[in-house]
Amino acid sequence: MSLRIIELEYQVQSFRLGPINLTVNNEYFVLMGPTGSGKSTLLRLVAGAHRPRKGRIIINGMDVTTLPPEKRGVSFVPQDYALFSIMSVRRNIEFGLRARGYPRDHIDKAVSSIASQLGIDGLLARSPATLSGGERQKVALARALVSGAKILLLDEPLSMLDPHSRMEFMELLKDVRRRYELTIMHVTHDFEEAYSLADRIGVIMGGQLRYVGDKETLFNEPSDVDVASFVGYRNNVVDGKVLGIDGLLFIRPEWIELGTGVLEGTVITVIDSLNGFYVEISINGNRLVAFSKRRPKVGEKVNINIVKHHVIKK
Amino acid sequence: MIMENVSFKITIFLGFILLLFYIFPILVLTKVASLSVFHAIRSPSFLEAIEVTIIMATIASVISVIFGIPLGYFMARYDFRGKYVIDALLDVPIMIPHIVVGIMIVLAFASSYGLGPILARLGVSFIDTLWGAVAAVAYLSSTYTVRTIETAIRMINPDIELTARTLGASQSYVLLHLVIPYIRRAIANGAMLSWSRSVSEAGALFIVAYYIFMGKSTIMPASVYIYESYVGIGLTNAAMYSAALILVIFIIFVIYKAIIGISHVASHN
Repeated sequence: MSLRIIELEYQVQSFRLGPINLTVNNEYFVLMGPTGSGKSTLLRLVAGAHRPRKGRIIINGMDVTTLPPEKRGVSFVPQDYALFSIMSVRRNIEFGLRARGYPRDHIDKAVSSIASQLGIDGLLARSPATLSGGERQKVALARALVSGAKILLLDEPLSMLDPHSRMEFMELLKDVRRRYELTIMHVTHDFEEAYSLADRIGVIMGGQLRYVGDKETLFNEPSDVDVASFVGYRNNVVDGKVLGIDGLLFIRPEWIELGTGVLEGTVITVIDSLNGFYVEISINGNRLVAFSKRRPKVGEKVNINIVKHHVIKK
Repeated sequence: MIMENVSFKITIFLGFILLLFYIFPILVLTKVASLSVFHAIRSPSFLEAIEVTIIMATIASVISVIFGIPLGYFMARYDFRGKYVIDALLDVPIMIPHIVVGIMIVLAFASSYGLGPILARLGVSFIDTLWGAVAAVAYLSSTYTVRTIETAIRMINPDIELTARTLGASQSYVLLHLVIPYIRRAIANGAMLSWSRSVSEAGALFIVAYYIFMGKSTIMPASVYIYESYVGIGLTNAAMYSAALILVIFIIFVIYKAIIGISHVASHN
């Protein structure tokens, strides 16, 4: 299953998206970007909600740019899952099959099969309003899968879940992708989520795709300053002069060791986290965030050692 | 704090003055008409007038729903240059004097300036007929249905429709099997608003259908009937029929609310 986006352009009021070129091929692709970057718009263009101004969308070799959403072979799952509150879970799942006029026995078989695979047999008679967040997710997924689409378009599907359900659902998504051989395009602004799920990641900023590639490169060797600044607010993008290097440096907090090294700085702030402390240090007017297991005092003079850095190409 | 409390009480009191302004005329009418209401609702000619008024309003209301759903959907979901012109046009029927609406209906459907000759050839007349009456009140009242439906559709997240489409449903399937069920209560409310507006109409009917030919007899719509009784016989006579009309409409409203209320409870179980 492949999705190809070629020279795609779209404009709504003053916001311009594209030109976008992207190929997503039988993989879990996560599209990241800040709010208003156009990531959800791109997803909706693929789903068929809007007509692009220019360019083409090819799904499995077929140009679907002008086809209506129901003829594209994609399934869209929005942030709030869009379960139809006026009908039961069973009716929700069979909605697409009924719309396409499948016979009753086919529908019944398909619904019981998907319900047992996702473990939601017990929910079929319930109303969506009575379901928990995790259950809603599973119903939305069952409904998308039963329609037979091999490309899933997920718009921030984990943002409304509690941490426990998030972990559980991430595992389910990975499992479902393998089992049904799906191509998934997943939009999010959450790094943990992206890192955990993605085979490849794309970063969209200001309507332009700024990065497409593997996640290790993105989180360790970002290609430009904007992308580097986006991939983590605690990551450091600093002038190379700190280390006597020409250019900009990208340094993750865990690449900075406290207590050793020749560089000297002053602790400005300390932020507690579950695994340790993010320590903001001022060094000759530059601010660096280090990750430390020890909690230094604010105002304390510390020596630091930059174990690793990445030079961002200008 | 005490001052705030006093000014808040004064504000609420202003609201009650408005409420009193609504209720007082009804009270006086009820007192003047009192038991003669039962005399009025036993009068065959008045019952005929109410009957023809209800038939007229019901047909207009059904028409407003059938055509109002597509128009409301269009207004809620499509954006285009100059949309505000259509938006303003939709409000025209409720902004102009209803006598003017009557004149426009006569001009458009019963005179040589409009479709009069064509309709005459087809044997359809709009003057003093049920068709004319329905056209006049539908023109005035369908805006309420369209606006109610439009507002309800705007409340549905467009993602719901997009999701349904990608599941394999066509746009018309989504409208019939998803959007309409979602807004069924708004449709009922819009239809009822439009119905009540039609029942209460007088001005346009003075021009288009002062009498309505029904078979061999001529029947006046209820509002015209009451007007006739006022100018022909007098205030107390008109009061009697007015109170009777209010009573009938009130009963219909209570029944409607009860049905809607029951379905509301049912939909949550």
